Amino acid sequence: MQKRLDQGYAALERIADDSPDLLKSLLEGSPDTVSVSDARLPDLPLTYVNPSFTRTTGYSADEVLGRNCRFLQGEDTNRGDVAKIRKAIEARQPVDVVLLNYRKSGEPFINSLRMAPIFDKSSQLSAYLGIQRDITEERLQAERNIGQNRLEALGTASGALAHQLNNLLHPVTSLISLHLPDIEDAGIRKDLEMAHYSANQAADLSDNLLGLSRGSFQDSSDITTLPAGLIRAVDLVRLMLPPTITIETSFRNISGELNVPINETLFAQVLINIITNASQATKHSGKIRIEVAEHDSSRVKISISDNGPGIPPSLREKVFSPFYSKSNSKNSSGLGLSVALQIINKVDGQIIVEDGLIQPNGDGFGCMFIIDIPNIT
Amino acid sequence: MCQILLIDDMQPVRHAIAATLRKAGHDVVETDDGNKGLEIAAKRQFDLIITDIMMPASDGTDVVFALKSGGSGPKVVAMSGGGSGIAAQDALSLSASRADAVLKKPFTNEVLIETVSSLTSN
Repeated sequence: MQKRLDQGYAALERIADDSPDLLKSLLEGSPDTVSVSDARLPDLPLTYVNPSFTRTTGYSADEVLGRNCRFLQGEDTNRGDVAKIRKAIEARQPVDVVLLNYRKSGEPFINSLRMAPIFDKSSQLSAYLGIQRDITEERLQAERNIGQNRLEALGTASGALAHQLNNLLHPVTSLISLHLPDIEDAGIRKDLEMAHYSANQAADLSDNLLGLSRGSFQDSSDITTLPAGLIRAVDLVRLMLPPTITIETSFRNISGELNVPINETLFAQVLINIITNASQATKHSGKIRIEVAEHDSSRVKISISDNGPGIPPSLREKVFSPFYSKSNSKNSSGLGLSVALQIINKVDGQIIVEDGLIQPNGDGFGCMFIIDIPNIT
Repeated sequence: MCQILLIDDMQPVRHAIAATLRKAGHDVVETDDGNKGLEIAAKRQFDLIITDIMMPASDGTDVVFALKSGGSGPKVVAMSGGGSGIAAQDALSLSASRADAVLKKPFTNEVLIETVSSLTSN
């Protein structure tokens, strides 16, 4: 170990002799964010940050040197993640943690932080090295892929299920309707008619499932047709949410079929994320209204309004931040709306937040998310 | 009254179709597999053969093509509800070019009886 250390130091000394600035240039040029804190001073003040740190965080070196790097934390930073760092520092152990940090602008980012105590040659703790990477984009992409895979699997499974159900339902409806005319007892006829009606309802449900699978089998296409694609997504989300939530749709404001330049699975993912969020806002007991409008020949607006508590105008931008809504549901990844916005931005669209439906007590308004995307009909 | 051969691997479905046809006065022979169906058809004269398309042991499309390869023969109806990942239209698309009619499952008794009588009335 000592030998390896000696060799390492010797090599670095040679580098320092041959090209005195190279070691500094390595730190300055590192694509990953590098920060150094002085371990000998109380509260570990930063003594060095490289240009990548400045670029990622938006803070200049002047603004941060001498301060403990906890200024990167903010209101939605998970306390558990912070505690993990503190414990590692107390134990003089390295730590890997992914946590929510904030740029100077207030914009949150997902930071993959590695922190390690640095011991000098005489084994004295001299510094803490922090290496960080902004992994926000990666995380959103991964979340998007997970969502897409989940929907595709659901489409395949629901298609298979629908076929099985259809095969089982055919004899039920067929045999009942075949023999019903022969039944003379009015009471028995009534019972069988009820059974026949239920079997037909089940067959309709099965057709809906088939519709879902058809949507996701069109995956190669980057076009979704409205309202059909929207109806499929809403059918799916109805299966995912408790029956206590009311979802209404209205397509009165469109003249006919519309095409939007987005893959149907991704489109479904956006709607599911927004509708699920709206349902959570109303504690799964309110109303959600979905409307489509052509607001000129080149754009389509899809609005999803709820009658929940609403979001004050000053916070409307923030709802798209990663982990903003995480506290609202233990099942949520906290990335649902961030992913929705990312998907819509990629197709030259935007999501606008406005006042939604009037609240049940009449006091105020819920929230409305408007997806504004190109119309390529 | 017609002589009808019915080929479908799903017993309850086959039973329901056969019962509907029998009640309408037709004579129905049932089998659960396409190859068995072709053997039966080779030995006996039928007015109409109704075959499912997606069956585990044989493909109903082959049955349709085999029956329709000769000049004259029975009328053939292909039926399918598709399968996982395959829509009914796609399952029926090949057969549609050769069969006298296609039935997309699920279909009602009325549609079945109308299809049979329209094919066998003349």
